[in-house]
Amino acid sequence: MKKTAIAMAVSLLTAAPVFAMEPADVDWSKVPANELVLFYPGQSTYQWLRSKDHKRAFMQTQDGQACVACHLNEEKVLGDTLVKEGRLEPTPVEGKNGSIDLNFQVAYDDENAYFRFQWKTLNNYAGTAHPYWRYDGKEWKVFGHPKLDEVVQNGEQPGIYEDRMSIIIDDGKVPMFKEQGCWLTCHNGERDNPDLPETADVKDNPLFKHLKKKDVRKYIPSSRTDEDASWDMGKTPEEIAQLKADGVFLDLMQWRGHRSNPVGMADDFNVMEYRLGDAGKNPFAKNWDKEAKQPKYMYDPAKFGNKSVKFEDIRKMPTTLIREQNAMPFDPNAGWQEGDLIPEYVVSREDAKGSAADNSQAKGEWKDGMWTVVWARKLNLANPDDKALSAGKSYNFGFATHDDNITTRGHFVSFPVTVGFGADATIKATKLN
Amino acid sequence: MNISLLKKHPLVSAAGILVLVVMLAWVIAYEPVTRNLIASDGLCNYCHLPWEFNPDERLTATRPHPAASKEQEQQAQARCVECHLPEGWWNTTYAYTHFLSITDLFGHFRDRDGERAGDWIPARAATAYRVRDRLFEYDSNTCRGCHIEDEIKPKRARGVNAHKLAKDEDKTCIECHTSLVHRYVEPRKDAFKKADVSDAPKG
Repeated sequence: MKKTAIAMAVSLLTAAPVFAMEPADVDWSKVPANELVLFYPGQSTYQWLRSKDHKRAFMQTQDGQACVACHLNEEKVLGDTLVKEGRLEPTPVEGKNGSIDLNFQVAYDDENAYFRFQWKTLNNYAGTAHPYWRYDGKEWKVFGHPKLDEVVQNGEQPGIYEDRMSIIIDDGKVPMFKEQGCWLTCHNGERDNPDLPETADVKDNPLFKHLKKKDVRKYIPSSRTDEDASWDMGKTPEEIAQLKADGVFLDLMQWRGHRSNPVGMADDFNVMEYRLGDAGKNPFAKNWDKEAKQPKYMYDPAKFGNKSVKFEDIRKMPTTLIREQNAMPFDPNAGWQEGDLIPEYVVSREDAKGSAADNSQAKGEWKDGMWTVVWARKLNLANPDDKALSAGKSYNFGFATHDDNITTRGHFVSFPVTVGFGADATIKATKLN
Repeated sequence: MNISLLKKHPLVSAAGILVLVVMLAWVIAYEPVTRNLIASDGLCNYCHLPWEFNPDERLTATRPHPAASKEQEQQAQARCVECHLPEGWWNTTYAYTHFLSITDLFGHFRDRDGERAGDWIPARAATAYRVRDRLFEYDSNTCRGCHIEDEIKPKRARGVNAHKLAKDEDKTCIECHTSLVHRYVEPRKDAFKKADVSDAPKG
């Protein structure tokens, strides 16, 4: 496996993307650091926050009062409470911490905004592994799940999921985002949240039928017709299109330890009636041939050193399957053995296209228990599914990290914070010369 | 006063003095006697206990206030009048007008037509709404009888932040502290809205 690791590292180095200006080249020592505390939110959904269970604050929350009006500087306390089994956490993850300290720096020049994030991971390994296809001697089955899944909690499957750093941006057009941030997007009915609907009910819902989706993911209340912003009360596609045209949506970008970092990218999504990928193609895709019921790609032994990996390899070496670097079409007759693993996703910088490929300069390095992610985002993007960052303006940002093999609501989140690029804000970006 | 007249009618004089003393005593004792002896919890519960009845949990219609905790074991349980009858000599009178079902404990006459108008709401909720409205109107004056705002030191950051915000935005206790004691009643959507002069009719 040592040979494989070296081959992988060499292939990554030789194919490293060339940036017009590397965010790593920014002199970050001259950019002020902002310490943010991100905390575990449990199931504190939009609906819960507006229910009487949110004790003395639910009416104020309904009126649009900011979370920090009461919870300023309370992130650690909240996280330590919410991460434990309780009314907002029915499936606690053993050993999970309640909060993390995020070091955030931001700068900009005439072309780009530059972000730098640093946070300590719970584990003494980088979260670069992601679920795999595992050959059980007869067929390929998913191996590894996020830690909130029942199969992990009951010990049937190992907890395997990539680390992530997420940014969500509002330019002031989403009502109440400035006050309540990411909590506008977290609802009952979404994965790992209360009142999970049956797949058939989701498929039958007019909005979801139109979207061709079978589960509920992030959305903002403006996309719903009822006061409670219920998942099944979507506005018509025409109304939603008009709202989007008016700028009522959020930008959501995620740097991913397995599915984007190895090709120096972050993905690009937007949130209105659903968490949708931007136009074009993100850098990752499912590595699965539905008809043949087998992976589409496998490792190229000539480039990777082997055709698959084993469970014991996955956190000791990079295992991302990169189409243009270490992959080849899957060969069902390659002599597969029980326990062989092939990544569930295939990643490609070359295949990423359009608005979905905007975040083409994002790179993270894990060292001594800490991720350092540097990221450039072009200013003045003109895509209709992006929130264009521009000099002279301020924006409402929310941040989240997924740590310790987890997804959905198992992240650490920040309260919303304003970031200004040559404009007044809580965090002011440094202008680079 | 003609002293000679008093000397001529000592009994009348004594009676007059006695009346004056009784009147003075009554004036002085009126409020404490009413609050501590007459308007007792027992008397209040003579009418109000049925409204407090909780069909799910018998005999747990109210919770202690102050909340029972180790630190507060020595504190006396608040009585009905302490939250519901504003302090003051004149306000004390409203206890009696309330007994006669003429006013509420804040001195507002019953508006029977108004109470009958509009959508039907459960009697228990109507009572809660009326009391909350009065507390809002009078800046939670009965709460402030015991709690001095500047001396409130919440233990948790959320309490500190919320109280600072309340002071900054001139909010009053009842806007947050509803359903502290009695059976839960959902606050109305339009509760605790201050009048806005811009809403007033023009002309």
